[in-house]
Amino acid sequence: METVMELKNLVKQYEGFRLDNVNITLPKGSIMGFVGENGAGKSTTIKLILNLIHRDSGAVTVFGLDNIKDERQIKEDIGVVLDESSFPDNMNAASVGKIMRHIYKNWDSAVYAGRLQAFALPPEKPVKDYSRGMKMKLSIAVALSHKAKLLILDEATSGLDPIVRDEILDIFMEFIQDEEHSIFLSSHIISDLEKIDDYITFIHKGKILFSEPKDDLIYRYGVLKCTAQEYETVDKSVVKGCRKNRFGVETLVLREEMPAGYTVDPASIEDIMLFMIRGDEK
Amino acid sequence: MKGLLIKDLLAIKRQGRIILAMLVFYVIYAAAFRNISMLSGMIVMLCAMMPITAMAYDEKCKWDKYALAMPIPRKTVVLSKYLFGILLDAAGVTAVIPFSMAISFFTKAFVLKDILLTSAVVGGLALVFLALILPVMFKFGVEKGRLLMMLAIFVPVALVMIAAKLGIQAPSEQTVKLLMFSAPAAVAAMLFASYKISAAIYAKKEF
Repeated sequence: METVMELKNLVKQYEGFRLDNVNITLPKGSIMGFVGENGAGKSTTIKLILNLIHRDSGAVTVFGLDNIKDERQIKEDIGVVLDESSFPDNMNAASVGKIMRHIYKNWDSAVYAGRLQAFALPPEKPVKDYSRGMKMKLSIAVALSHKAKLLILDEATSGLDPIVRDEILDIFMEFIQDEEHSIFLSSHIISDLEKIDDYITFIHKGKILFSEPKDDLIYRYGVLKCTAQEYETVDKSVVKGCRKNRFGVETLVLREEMPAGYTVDPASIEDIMLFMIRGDEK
Repeated sequence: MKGLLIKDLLAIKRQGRIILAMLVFYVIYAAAFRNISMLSGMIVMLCAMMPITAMAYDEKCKWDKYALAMPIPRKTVVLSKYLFGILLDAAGVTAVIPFSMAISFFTKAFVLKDILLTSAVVGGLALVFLALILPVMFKFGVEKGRLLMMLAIFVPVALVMIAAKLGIQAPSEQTVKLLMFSAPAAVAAMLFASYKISAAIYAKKEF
C-alpha cells in the first residue's frame, strides 16, 4: 500500500514533557484517527508535521517528500484545520477567499463559493459573529478549496454539538471517496473516530501505544466481566487491563487467546483505550 | 505575499476610519494654528504604526500558526510586515501633502519646499521607528513589546532634549544638508538590517 505520510522516530523534548520516538505511517486513501488525552502529545505531533515547532530528531515525509526541505511544495497539497479559528474577528468569509486566492496556487474560488453555500456560511457576515461550528466549517471550506490531497485536522470536532459534528464527519467521508485523498485527524471524541476511521493511533504521555487498523483492534480485544474468584483462574498473560469494583472484575483480554467457557463481549475503541490507560492493576 | 498584505489591510480596515477622523481633526487644527508639522507627524506615525496593530490582531487569533501551516515561508511573513509599514508610510505622506498644500495656499503661511521637506523627514522618521520596533515585536509579541515601543519613542526624544539642555550645539547647516542627502540610504540600510534581525528571530520561533 502506498504511504502518504510517515513519521519516523520523532522526538521533541520540552521541560516536563517528551514526545518520545513517535512512528506513524498513514496509508494513502485512508482516515487515521489520532487519539489520546489532553496533553498526550497530539498537537505537538501535528505541529512537528507542519514544521511549526522544531524537532529534536527524527524525520517526517509527506507525499514522499521531506517536510522541511520541501515544506512549501507539501503545504500546497495539505488542507489544515486547527483547533480554533485563526481569522481576524472583523474579517468575513468573502475576504478570506480573496486572501487565499493569493496564497494557494490551486485555489478554486468557485469551489470555495460552493462550500460556503453548502455549509450555509454567510459570506458578508464578520467571522466574530459566527458560532464555533460555523468558524470550524469556514476553516474546513478553506481546507477543501485548494485541491488538497491530505487533510490534517487538530481537534476539529471538539467543542461542537453532535449534529454539527455529524455533518463534518459526512464531509470527511465525502472527501475520502477519492482514492488519492487521505485524512489525519486528532480528537479526543472517540465515538466520532469510531464512525469514520480506518486506522487508530493512540498516544499516551508522548508515546505511541498502538497504531493499527481499527478493525484489527476491535477483533483482537474483548471485555471479560467476571467475579473476583473467576478472575483468579484466568491466565494473566492474556489480560491487557483490569478494573475491579465491588460487583466483580472487568478486564480487557486478547479474544483469540481466551480459553473456551468465558463470555467475552466485544470491546469498543474507548474500552481498549480506557483499559490501557487506567486499568493497570492486574 | 500579496495575500498577507491584503489580509493586513482588511484586518485594519476599521482603523482606517479612525485615521480619517484624525486626519480631519488635524487638518482643522493645522489650519487654525497654522502648524502643519503636527498634522504630518501624527498621521504619518499612525500609518507607520499599522503593522503593529495588524500584528496585535494576528496575535489575538493566532494567525501566524495558521499562516505557517499554509505554503507561506517564515521569511515572507516577516517581510510582509515591513512592506506593509512602508506602503502605509508612503500612503500617509501622500495623503498629508495635498492637505498641507491646501492649508498653506489659503493661509499663505508655508512654503512648498518646507511642506515637502517636513513630510519627507516625518516619513523617514516613521520608518526608522519601524526598523527599531519590529524586531522587538517579533521577539516579544505585541503585548510585551508595547512597553519597549514606548522606550523606542522616548529615548531618542530624551537624548535630543538632554543634548539641548547640556548646550551641545545643533549641527551646522552643512552637516544637516549632508545628513539629509545620505538619510534615504541610511533609512534603507536600517530597514534591511532590521528585517534580517526579525527574520532570524522569527525563524527560531515555535508556534
